[in-house]
Amino acid sequence: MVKQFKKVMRSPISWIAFTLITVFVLCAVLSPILAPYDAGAQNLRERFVPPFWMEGGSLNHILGTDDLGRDILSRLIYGSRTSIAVGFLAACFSGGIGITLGLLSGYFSKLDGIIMRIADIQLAFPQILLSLSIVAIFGGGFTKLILVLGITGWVSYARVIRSEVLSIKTSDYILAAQTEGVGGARILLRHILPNIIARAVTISTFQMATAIITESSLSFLGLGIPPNVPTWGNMLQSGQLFVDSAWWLSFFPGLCIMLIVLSINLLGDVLRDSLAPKTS
Amino acid sequence: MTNANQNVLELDNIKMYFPIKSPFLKRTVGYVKAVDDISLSIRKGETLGIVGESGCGKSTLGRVIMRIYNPTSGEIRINGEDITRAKGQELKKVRKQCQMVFQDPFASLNPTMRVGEIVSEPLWVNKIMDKKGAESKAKELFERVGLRESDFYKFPHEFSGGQKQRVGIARALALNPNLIIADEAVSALDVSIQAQILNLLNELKAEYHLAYMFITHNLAVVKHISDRIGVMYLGHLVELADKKEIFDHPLHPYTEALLSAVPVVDKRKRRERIILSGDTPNPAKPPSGCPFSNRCPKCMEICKTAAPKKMVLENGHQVACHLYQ
Ligand SMILES: Nc1ncnc2c1ncn2[C@@H]1O[C@H](COP(=O)(O)OP(=O)(O)OP(=O)(O)O)[C@@H](O)[C@H]1O
Ligand SMILES: [Mg+2]
Repeated sequence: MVKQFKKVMRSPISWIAFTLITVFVLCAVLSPILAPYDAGAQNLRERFVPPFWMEGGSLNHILGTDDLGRDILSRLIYGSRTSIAVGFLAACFSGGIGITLGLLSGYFSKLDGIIMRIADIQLAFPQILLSLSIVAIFGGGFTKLILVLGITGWVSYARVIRSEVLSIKTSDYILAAQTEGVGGARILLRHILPNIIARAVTISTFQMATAIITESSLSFLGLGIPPNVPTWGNMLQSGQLFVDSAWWLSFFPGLCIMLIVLSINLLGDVLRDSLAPKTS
Repeated sequence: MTNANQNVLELDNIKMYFPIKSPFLKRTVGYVKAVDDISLSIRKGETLGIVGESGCGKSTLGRVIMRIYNPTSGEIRINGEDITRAKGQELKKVRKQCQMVFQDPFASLNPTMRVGEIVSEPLWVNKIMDKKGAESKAKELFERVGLRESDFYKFPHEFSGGQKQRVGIARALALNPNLIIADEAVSALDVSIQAQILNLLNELKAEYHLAYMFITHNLAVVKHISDRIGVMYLGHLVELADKKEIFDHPLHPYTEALLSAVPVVDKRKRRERIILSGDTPNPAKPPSGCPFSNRCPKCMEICKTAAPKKMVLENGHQVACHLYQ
């Protein structure tokens, strides 16, 4: 495990991705310590202060302030909490549903038809559109958002897991277990699941990235997390009104979204290559 | 049958046809007759070798006996008990009497499980003993098949091919079966390792009162281990006799051709090499009449129209060929 990790870290890209993710996670966990100001603290005398390297900027507000005089850096740090929590929990939730249904669908051919038809129907709608409609009907908020992202994200797990199970279940080692009298539940959980968990982890990274984008997009549209909570999507939304005069309001949250999604995806690629079960 | 209690395995007219589906409408457009009307029996403690070229249905026959596939028709009896339609608990019970060693030692061990767990699992899953007991029984088996106790907690990828096959054998022995079906059990191994594994199987046979069905395309292997030999061609059992009979007096032209390809040291016994013309026919479109008719050097008119019936000579030598009808 350690040896593998060292090998992976030799490539500069995975090194950068890994560092970025570590920084974001640290920000999320330690926001109250790291953030120089309270995220909601307004200061109407210091509105639209530019980043420190620009004329009028100061080191008091390294990345400037927004239309209400709130410190952008502090809000970004607090915003990482929402993004990472939503991304992680949504990926876990959709993973739970998707892996279960994928296993059942692949192993029990009687369930396969039903589960895959539902998946096909759901795939006909883009995830963002589906999430948008559900949130528009039932309302947003942290918990609901995670549920919605979970329910709309299971298909990408289920389809991949199903096809893996289909190929594994005819392999000699599964046939051997069956002929020894090992029951279906144990075959699925002990014999098949460990062989696909690496794939599931890989999918979950991409799913996490998608969930972060969807959360930001929904918040941007005013349908996700309530606007008073500092999230990158909300910051982007309130900043877009001033994009001509004060670009930093929307640029930095956009950059954060891009960086975290990019590094999660890169990490996913690395995981996919290194986690595959050893065969020889 | 009078000698029913002498036979571990009896097959009556087993057929295994795999449907061929059209790509779009999934309608059945034909059948691959992988096993076509095979009857045979294996006595207690006997080794029956099954030979034939690739694609002739050897593995399918083994898998039908293990009930991995459900036969299209025919009857399978293990220790006199009809298991053709056994299900659930009943199937679990008969499966204990018949176990399998697979061809590919890489593919037949789960890469995510420790080999000790693989070997002990059948014992406690079938409630023969608790997990602790299963573990110590498995350790005994490890020792018996020539593995060390320290190997118990290793993963399959830490072993060589021959050692993996020993694990596979230990797993098959765990349930104390009467019959082991070894499907190309040594084909993936180096020649020197092959001999070791074959010797191990021979030793175990007496010790555990086993019967083997030994499936292979390699006549040298079959000669080493078998008491009787069955020759398969295109899903049919074309000849079945004692090992000596097959090697000294082969009757079927296909058997003769197979034997002629085996190098022989003794000059007097050396035969002329018979090279078969043409390819093995597609098992979905077998030739009419005798399945071997399009490649047979001794093909007659009748062979192209009528399928030969199985003939049994006095010494038990069976052959399906018009030359002897
Ligand atoms: N599950 C299946 N579905 C459809 N056709 C199959 C299936 N399994 C085997 N066949 C076909 O049945 C025929 C016999 O296959 P089988 O694997 O039994 O041959 P074999 O004698 O074991 O060959 P080899 O020496 O290559 O292992 C082949 O034509 C194969 O394509
Ligand atoms: Mg085979």
